[in-house]
Amino acid sequence: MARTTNMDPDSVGVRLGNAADVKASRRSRTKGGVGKKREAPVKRRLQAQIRRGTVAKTKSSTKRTESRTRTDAPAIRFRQLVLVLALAVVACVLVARSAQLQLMDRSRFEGAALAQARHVVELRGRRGPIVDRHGAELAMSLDVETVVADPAQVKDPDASARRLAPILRVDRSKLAKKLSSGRRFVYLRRRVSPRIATSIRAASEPGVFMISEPKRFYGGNRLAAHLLGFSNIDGAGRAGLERRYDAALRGRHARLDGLRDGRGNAVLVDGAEAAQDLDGRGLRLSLDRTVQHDTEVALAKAVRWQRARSGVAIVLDAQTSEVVAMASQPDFNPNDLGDSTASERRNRAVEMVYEPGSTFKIVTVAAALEEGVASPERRLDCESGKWRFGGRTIRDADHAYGDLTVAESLSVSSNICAAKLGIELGRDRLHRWIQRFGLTRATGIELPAEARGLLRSPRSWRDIALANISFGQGIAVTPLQMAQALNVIAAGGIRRAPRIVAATELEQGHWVEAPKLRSERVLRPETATALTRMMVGVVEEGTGQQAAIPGFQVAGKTGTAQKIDPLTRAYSREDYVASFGGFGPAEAPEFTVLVVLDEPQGSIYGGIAAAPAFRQILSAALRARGHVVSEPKTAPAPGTEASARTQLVPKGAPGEAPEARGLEFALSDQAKAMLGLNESLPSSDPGVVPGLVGLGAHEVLERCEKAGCVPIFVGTGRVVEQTPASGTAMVPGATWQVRMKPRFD
Amino acid sequence: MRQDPLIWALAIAAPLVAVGLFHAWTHVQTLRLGYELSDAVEKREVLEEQNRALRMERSTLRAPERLERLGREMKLAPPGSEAH
Repeated sequence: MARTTNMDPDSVGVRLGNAADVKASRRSRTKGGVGKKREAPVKRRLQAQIRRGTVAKTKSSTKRTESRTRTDAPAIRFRQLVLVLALAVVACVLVARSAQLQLMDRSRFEGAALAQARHVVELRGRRGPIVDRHGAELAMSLDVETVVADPAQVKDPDASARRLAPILRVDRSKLAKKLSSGRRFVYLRRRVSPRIATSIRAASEPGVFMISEPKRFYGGNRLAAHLLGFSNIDGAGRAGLERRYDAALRGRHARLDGLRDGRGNAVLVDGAEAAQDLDGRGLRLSLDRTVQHDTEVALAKAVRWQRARSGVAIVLDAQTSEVVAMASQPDFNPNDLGDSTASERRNRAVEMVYEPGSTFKIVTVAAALEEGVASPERRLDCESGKWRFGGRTIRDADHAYGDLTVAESLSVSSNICAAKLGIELGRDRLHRWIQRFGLTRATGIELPAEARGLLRSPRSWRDIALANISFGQGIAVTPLQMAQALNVIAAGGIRRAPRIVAATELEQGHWVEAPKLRSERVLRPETATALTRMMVGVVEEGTGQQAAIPGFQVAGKTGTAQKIDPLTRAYSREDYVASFGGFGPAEAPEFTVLVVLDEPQGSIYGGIAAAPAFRQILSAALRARGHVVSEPKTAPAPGTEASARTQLVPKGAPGEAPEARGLEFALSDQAKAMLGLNESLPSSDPGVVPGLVGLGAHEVLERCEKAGCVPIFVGTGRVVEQTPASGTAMVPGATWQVRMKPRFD
Repeated sequence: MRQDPLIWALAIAAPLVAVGLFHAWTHVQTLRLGYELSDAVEKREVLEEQNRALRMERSTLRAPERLERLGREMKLAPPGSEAH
């Protein structure tokens, strides 16, 4: 064994170890850095001991040390062994524990770790858009901001409420209450304007946040509001197409699993579903936005001009029966539902039923032509405007014609001739033709709450009922049903159910056309042509001249029908429905248009009140198809002062035959029974007591004054009973007693 | 011939280290792509929202009511209304 007296710490290290250590030490020294590094702490310790004098520098001390080293060697080896064993045990424990965690309890700990880091990203698809036939957006969902709060983070709810209430325009106390609630999430105001959102951000109120929520926007405001309907604040369709197609329009929700990093950022590790797969499907309508606008404008003008209670206008594509425009007045703005009433939101085109009056005569004449009962040239006796039938009198009130052809009778809208044709047809045949024209069932259009009309079984029709129905009283239809019936003639005798949805969006930008609906031939082409010629006569020479469009042949039919007074359950003498329906150009029909005005106050006649709007709407539709259409020089646009001067005709003035006037006595028992009528219409014959039932006190006073009689009123409201009865001989100076009841008693 | 144990150790450790490094690399890549995906989804949302807003604005600007009002202000007339 080598000896040394060198007190170099390096050599001390050598002395302390055995031969193998020396070898290792040398080896490590020759290899350089690693050995040196390991020895460095020993060296430092020895140097420190030398400095402290704990290591002797004498020969004797060196000897003692060597001797002790020899004695301690087994102990050192033992310690080394213990240390190695201890380290091995620790290593084994670590490996075992690691194996336990990684292999045996893997799923449990993996789940716990994922639960801690997992972040579920909620993706909400937007409601699909609704576009017109040219792709113009009518309804669309956009993100807007909603103000929310975490009340736990709000330090001073009252102070925050004081600052936020003026910005949000909400009640301060309610806001303070929300901010004081124990919940962790409250809505302060949903879907605020960008201006409010900016102000809220600027306020930087602690605990108050903004989140995005989709909001439905209707770009045209009131445009096609009744068709489109609306959705509620949670995006669920509540009316119109929004309701009918809610399932298709509504976007899907998806939950994507992601991870959250230390800063809370979402990391999508499993990919993301395509957004368009989540978005609701779009709807493409057959509607033309421009024609819809013009239709709405024309209808609104007519309603305003005639001071009508409500109005409906429908434009159908004559060849496909697609709805090109559908307007209803009064209307509403779906962007601001709070201002609208239930009545304004009602789509009268499909939800309202009315007695069509003379426009229905086309069905009677069509049936007569098809059944061989009559030809257009067959002459009928119009009985000089007054015909006694079934114990009642049917009148052509304002004209007294003798013999007329069927075509001429349609042109002047004779109730008597229509009744005669209906009677010749008989109950069953007329009823069958009413069915064929689709007037006894809903059209099936893709709109909710469609009515299906009212018509009793033909077995219960009395003779007078048959006569009434022949000229459009005692039967109730929706405007859309009537438009469909008119379109049968425009389409050359083929009936197609009207529809509004042209295509649905399968995926973004990929549209699937709606399947073609079944069509049914109702009339022979020659019958349709004959009817078209007759309807052209109505516009060119008859009661519908206001509907004429220069340069175009227009086919049409006027309608004026009395309404039922809900109080008296009799036909009102005050309230009428004026309508005009037709199509054009007559030689190659492109559009069928129907205009219905409910309770017009200016003129009750369809040819005066509704025909100008018809002309405007048909002109607009033809323009939209590229035709150059001119306004007639002689017919001022309705709604203008000039038109009011030239066209405003007081009620009761001569004009086309008001169908219900023919009902003066012909008011059917059947119609009464069907419509719950018990009272006959008042007589207007001079020398007899007029009918007062249904009139208000003011009108009774007027009539009494005219007759020189003294009224006695019992009760208030409208007359429900009178003494003496109407039709009895009038005695000047006599007392007339009327019992009255409130309208909604 | 006896081989150096260090070589054996290296031969065993190197593949293990390589596998470990690869695993770590894939994990880092997954996270990086996850971040990118999150950003892309967010950007797509923003762009789609902008697209919708612009479509709505276009629809509003081309609304017949507005065009009619502008036409009236410019004293224009419907096509053909001057004829006859």
